[in-house]
Amino acid sequence: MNTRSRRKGLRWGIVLIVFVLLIATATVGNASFSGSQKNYVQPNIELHKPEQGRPLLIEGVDAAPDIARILKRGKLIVSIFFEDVPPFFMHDKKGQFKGIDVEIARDIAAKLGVEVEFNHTPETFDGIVEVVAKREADVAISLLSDTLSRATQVRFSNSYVELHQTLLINRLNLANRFPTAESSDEINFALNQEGIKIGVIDGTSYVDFVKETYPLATYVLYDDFSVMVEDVTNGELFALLYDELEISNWKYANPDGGLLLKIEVLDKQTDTIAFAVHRDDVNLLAWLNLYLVKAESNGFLDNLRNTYLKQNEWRNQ
Amino acid sequence: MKKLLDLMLNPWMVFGGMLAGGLIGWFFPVIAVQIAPIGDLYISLLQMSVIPILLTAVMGGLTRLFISGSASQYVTRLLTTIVMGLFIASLIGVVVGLIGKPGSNLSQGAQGTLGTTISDTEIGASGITAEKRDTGLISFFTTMIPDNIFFALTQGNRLSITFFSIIVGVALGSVGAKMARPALAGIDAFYETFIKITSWLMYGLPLGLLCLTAGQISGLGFEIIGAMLKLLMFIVVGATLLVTTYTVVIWLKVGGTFFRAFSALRETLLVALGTASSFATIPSALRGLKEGLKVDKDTADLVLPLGITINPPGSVFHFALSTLFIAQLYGKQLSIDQYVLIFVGATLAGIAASGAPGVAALSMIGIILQPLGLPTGVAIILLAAIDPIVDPILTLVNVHANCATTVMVSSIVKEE
Repeated sequence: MNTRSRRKGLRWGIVLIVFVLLIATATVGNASFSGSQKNYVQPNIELHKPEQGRPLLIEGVDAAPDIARILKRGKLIVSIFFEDVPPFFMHDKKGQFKGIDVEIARDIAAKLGVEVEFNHTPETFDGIVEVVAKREADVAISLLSDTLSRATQVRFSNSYVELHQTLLINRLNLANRFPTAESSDEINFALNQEGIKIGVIDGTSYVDFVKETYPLATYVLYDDFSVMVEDVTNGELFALLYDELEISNWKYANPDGGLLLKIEVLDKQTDTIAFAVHRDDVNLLAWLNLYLVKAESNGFLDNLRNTYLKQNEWRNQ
Repeated sequence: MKKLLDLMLNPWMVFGGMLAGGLIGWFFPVIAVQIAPIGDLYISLLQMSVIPILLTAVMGGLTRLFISGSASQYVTRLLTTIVMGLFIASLIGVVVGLIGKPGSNLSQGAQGTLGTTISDTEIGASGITAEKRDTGLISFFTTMIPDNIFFALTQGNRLSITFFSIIVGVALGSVGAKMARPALAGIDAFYETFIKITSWLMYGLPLGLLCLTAGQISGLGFEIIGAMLKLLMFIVVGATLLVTTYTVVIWLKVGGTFFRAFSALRETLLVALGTASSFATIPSALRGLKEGLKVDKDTADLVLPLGITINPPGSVFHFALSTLFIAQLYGKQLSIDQYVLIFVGATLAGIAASGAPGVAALSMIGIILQPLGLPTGVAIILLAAIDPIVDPILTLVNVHANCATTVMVSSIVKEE
């Protein structure tokens, strides 16, 4: 009897030891993990503050003439659209000029060791190109798409942001006519059917795109984005096509809109955004491309895209 | 030592562990995240023996049934009880949805939260993952029949394992008592062994549930829960209705006091709520049925594991109620035909979902929503967002329903 109970005690002892060991392993392993999480510091934009007067020239070697022009002037002139286009360039609630393009322009000027001046005159996007072509500015940093027609007049850098064409689709219409359509391929197939009405803004490149991509559908031209959204909401239109920025601004202003309208970002339809310089400024262009490579690898561009395109805090500032 | 161990088995201790876990998760989320892996460890330990138990219980039970020759009546009664139970659950879902209107008159703020959650999930900016899966009954049957039983066993595919166990049980019962007896003795020995292992694990239940609950509570997204509070409330109301119904059913069959009918399964219900895994609850439920309610061993061993695999009244209720929620959210007027469709569709979707793991099971709601012309994607995203809260409640309902089913079938068989 006595040995039996002792044996039983031993058995429980072993079970207990195993359990305690398991708990200890789990806790220790986890503690070290959460510790490393705490040490993670987010890269900060503040690191790229202007450093005025940094010597760029090696003694006895001249800077390339197109860059020397800027250094001599002590000022980088940046061509930018006359109105705010958030989140690329806009005034915040305190009246400060900021945004992706503004931060990049300031950073470039700081890296060159000069000040920045914004030329706000262009009232169209083609006008921005014109200002650079006429040498009224050194570089255009202004949500500028590097289209082939513009590239006949100026030189474009590598692109620093990719935007996508985006659909807003009435969910109930979609569920009624194509109940199983879920993936973007299925949705694209669903939109290219007789009797499907797709809205686009008149005079934009989207009109041609709708005609090419959804030849069987009917396109309806609009002048006003909000009227077009209303028509999708009430089911008059099946869907609308516009750019990612406008739709993300709409989503933020109308949070409940997501219930009725489905946002479908068209991954294959990209709109690449780049700097433009005068066609003779090849050295400046090479410098800017090198700058973009470095800004990409040190996380500066990623940080900007996160702050302004993925997160929404800037809207409240 | 013995006294301390007995204390750990006390249901109040178990309940206290859950409560403490909830408080830790709420007030000290940092600690909760650190102890959560212990909870996961505990669930793994509980689930470790579930597949052998499922296999041996169903095989052994069916073999005995076939040897004794009472199989055909038994099966008919079991199926009738299950179908009745599912229809009742579906009906309660529709009625609660009609009276409660969980999707009507949501505040502008709540609609904003829902809209943002849906859009962010679709464009990949939120933390919610809504897996997509083939919906429909065909996929239910393709998952049910394994092309290789050993593959199904290693993958832990419960539906195919149950299907295989049924076939083997029927076959073993048909080869003749003389040949079947030795095999049966072996199966029973293994069954008792695995039950023994899980009964030891019950000593760790208070601690395991403490860690599990702490982890679950700390991970909740409060904004979306606030926006869907009305639906959550009516899920709780419906679940309470169902659990009360099951308790009454058990009480009427077993006799004694109403409280005894409930308290015999106290531990089981707490395990279900704490682990949100109906399979991990099987051993505890078997003990509750056999020891607490004196259900005969053969019936309990066969009907309960079988029921847990293919009979999910909780999910059926959830699908019926959630369909009404989505219809109300989109202001869709439903005709009588469409209510019938929801009533039947929820039953089918619930059964189909029993073969799918985790959140993927939610996509079966497409079986009902697609013919109604309502957006399935939206439903999956919203239901996935509140699933961490809803899943334990539905697990509790599913487990309790199958305990009631077991009691129903067992007492009917005794009368014969």
